[in-house]
Amino acid sequence: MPFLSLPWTPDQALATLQAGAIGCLSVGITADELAIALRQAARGETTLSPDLARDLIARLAQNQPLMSGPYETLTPREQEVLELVCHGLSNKEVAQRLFLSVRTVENHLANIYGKLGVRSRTEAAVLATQQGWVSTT
Amino acid sequence: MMSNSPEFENEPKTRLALLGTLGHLHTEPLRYDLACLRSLVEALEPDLLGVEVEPEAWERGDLRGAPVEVRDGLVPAARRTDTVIVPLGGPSPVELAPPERGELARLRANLMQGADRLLTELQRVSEGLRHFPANLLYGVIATLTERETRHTEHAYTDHLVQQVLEVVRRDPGCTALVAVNVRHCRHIRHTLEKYPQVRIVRYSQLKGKL
Repeated sequence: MPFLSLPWTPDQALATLQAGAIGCLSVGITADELAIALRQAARGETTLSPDLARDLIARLAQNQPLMSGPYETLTPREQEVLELVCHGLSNKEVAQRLFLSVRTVENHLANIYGKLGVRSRTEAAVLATQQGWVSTT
Repeated sequence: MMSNSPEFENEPKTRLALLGTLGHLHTEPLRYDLACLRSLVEALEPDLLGVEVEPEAWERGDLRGAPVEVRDGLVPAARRTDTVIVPLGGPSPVELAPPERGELARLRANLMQGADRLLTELQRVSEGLRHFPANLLYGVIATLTERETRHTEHAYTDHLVQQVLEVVRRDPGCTALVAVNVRHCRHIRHTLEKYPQVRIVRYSQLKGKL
């Protein structure tokens, strides 16, 4: 059955479809659009709101993965910190490079570990390098 | 450009202290010498230390053009701690200009030297009291300065202020020590006090709790 919810992110929609839903509709659709979607669902056709379909097609067109991986959940600043850590910089060196306090760098690292599911800078660096998120050349 | 609108009042405040430096006087056998500067930085342990160095020069690792108190005092001290150096720009173009000629210029130079030495003599006086005569003297000196030079100085200190605000925006809630030539302190303090994101404190209070 289609789902109605608050505005979907593409990741939420994909996760829902992967879980077995036949479609995802945004709450702002019209009554006519809902009726069409329900008839499509009854025929076994997958249905997406135009805005969701547009976002997903944009990802494909830009050669991005359809579903965000853990690296994409990092903020731009966290990605910067991770790259510098992968290049072997200490916390102080990362802080100096980015003109942030050491404390802020440590906070970013803690967030990075949580989002990547790792426990140390070494694990984070190994994962990032293996996954090709960061180039160490 | 940072705003001083109310929405920023929810962000953690940056505790910021201004440290007025005295250029070449720090190399003389006075109480407020390079060793004193180094001890201050090591004792205060600010998260960030803003200094008058051009960012491009800092990127190149070239401190030859930096003020002596930065090159030989503040930077070595910061490197021994977790304090991060932030190049704010400078030195002031007025500092780099050839010496002025004329009676007024000589009077200004003498007053400036007198003000600087007074500050070193007042080192034992409490921070707050020392700023009052210093601000008074530098205010007098400013009125004797030619308009064009005053504008150049103001443009420079305004640039320093914007760089400081960029530091605050980038890392809100940290502690910051901004070391600039003492002549700029008055204008910078007066401008920064308008921004709710910044809490100006005496440098002796930098390590205290908010």
